[in-house]
Amino acid sequence: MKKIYCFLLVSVVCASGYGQFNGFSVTGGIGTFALSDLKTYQDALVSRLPFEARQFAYFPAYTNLRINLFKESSSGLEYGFVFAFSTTGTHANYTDYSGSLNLDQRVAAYQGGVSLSYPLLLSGNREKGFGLSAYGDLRLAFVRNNVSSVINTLYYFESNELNLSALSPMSELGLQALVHFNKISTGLEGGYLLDFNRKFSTGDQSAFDPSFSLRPSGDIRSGMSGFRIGLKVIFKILPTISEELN
Amino acid sequence: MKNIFTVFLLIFLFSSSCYYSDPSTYEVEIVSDYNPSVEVLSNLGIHDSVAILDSLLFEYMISIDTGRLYFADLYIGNLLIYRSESLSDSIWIDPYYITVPGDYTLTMLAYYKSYSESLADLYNAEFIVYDTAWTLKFYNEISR
Repeated sequence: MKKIYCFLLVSVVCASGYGQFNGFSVTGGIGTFALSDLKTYQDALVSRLPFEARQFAYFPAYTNLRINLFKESSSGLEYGFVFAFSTTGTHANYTDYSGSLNLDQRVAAYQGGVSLSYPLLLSGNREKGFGLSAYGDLRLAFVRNNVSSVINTLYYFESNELNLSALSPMSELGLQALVHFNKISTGLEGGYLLDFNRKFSTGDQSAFDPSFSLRPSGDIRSGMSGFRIGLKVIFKILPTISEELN
Repeated sequence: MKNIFTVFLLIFLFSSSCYYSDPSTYEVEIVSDYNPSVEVLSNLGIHDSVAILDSLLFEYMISIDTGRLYFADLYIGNLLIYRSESLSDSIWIDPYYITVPGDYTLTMLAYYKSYSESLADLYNAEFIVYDTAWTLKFYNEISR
């Protein structure tokens, strides 16, 4: 449901601002995540399990998506709205002939805000050439962590779920190296996302009387900070001011 | 305009498949050497068959060395007539349980803890079954 709200929000922003913007960009790649509190929390959860489950990846580098709707000024400065999505997680499992036990955390951060990009270097021109620019975002993120445990045997089944959520300001700074074609630019984008680490609020467990609790014993902070890198494609919708002047 | 929305829609649909998931499993092999001797004693004894003219009090006692009984089910033919969690119990068997007079098998299935230390065993959801049977001959037919 929250994804639908986000989609509607981005759609409204796009629709209302379409006539004013020069283009939009999509960056798909991966990000690393600090998430130190959630790692500690996962360790605490694993220690509560009735069996010695094996802990697999701890919030590894995973999907990161950034969409930018921008307007370009005559100086090459680009400013506009940005939407970003990041996800990662962790997983522990125990399996024997009688059944299996899974313990998962799945973190997703939906981020919306404003962006600014400034050209540092341009070889050729914006219709055909190579450019290097710096960018910065200020975003507000809705970070949701879905914690779930499932015990599945032939005659016993238990499923428990707990949602943690936080609204956290974030900022990303980075560089873009782009090759410009006529209406499309493409290249690499990379930077560092700083999360201001707001505290998660904890929901209720879905199971009435679970065999072990998923509730955290203390405060947990979001901690999505990390490096981001991805492949970027820019679609220029309307002529830029520099094109109009020419 | 239409293209933008198409792109955004595709991105959102695509992003849902990007959520983190890890299907890795840690498989543990469990070998259980728990094999207790189980015995069921009843007042029907070792007779080849028991005739029932009116009704019969069936008494039984289950013994499992170093074991724990979950429950025992009693069937006449395929009909479950009684479930008990007690090691010793009794039940009146009468012709109401059958529709046609004749020979029937009284079966007892005793479910006891496996002690295998598996995941299911920990949640008391794994059992070993011991079964034993007697032959009953019903003479009376009482309409229901």
